[in-house]
Amino acid sequence: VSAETSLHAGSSLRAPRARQVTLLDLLDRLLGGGVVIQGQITLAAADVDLVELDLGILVAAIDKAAGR
Amino acid sequence: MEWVESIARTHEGVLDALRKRTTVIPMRMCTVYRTEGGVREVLRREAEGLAETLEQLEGKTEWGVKVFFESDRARFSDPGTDAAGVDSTAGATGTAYMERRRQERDEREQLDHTVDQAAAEIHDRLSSVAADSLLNPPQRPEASGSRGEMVLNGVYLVADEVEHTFHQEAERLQERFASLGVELVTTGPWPPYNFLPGAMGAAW
Repeated sequence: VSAETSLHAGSSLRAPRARQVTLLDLLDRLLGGGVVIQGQITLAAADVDLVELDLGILVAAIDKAAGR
Repeated sequence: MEWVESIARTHEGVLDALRKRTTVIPMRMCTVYRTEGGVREVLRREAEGLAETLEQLEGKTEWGVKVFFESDRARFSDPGTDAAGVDSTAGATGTAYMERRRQERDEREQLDHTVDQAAAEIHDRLSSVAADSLLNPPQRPEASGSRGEMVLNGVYLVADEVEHTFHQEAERLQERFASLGVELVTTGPWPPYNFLPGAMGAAW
């Protein structure tokens, strides 16, 4: 599984801090990248087609939900 | 949002498992084919482009490197401008105060400039190891948590045989620029979301 690693100077290079990758990084790629084929996307969240949804708005909503 | 997260993690989980065994062309989340026939048709229609892309991506992995800057983390070389701001030589006059404020502002501006240069060099160095690289817009500060301002949001397509070199370079750069208050955060390995040829991107 993809991980996030902080490279702190002075910390042991063999034991970087690895965490589960953030939802933001994941959605940046899953909604902003990847192959798109027109007319094939049918899944919708709350009646809004996900690909029509501005990623910024979605991320803002996630931030709010996460209380950040 | 829990629904979105669960879909996203599942999508990534499947690609991550496949990525370990073969070359993967990631599709955008929520790409759905109603029938197996639909999948077959697209594969047939796009066979040439897909084969070309697979060839280009074979043996390469996407890594993300974000660089954060937090001025509180910076270690200034001049110990005379500490937080207390007591300057025994200048006295407590208004002129001395204004002078100190001006000096602090100048130092802050210079640090910002140095950090920008550091970010540019980090990207150059990592790009020189990578087969391909891209700069994405920095994520908004409120989304990146307490790490400070994101000054670089780079993605790198790295050949597996130089992956170790790539990470070593990132570690070296972290050590070199740590005193500026700069933190490098690596994410990955990712399927190559950011390195699909133009013909297979959004316009495909």
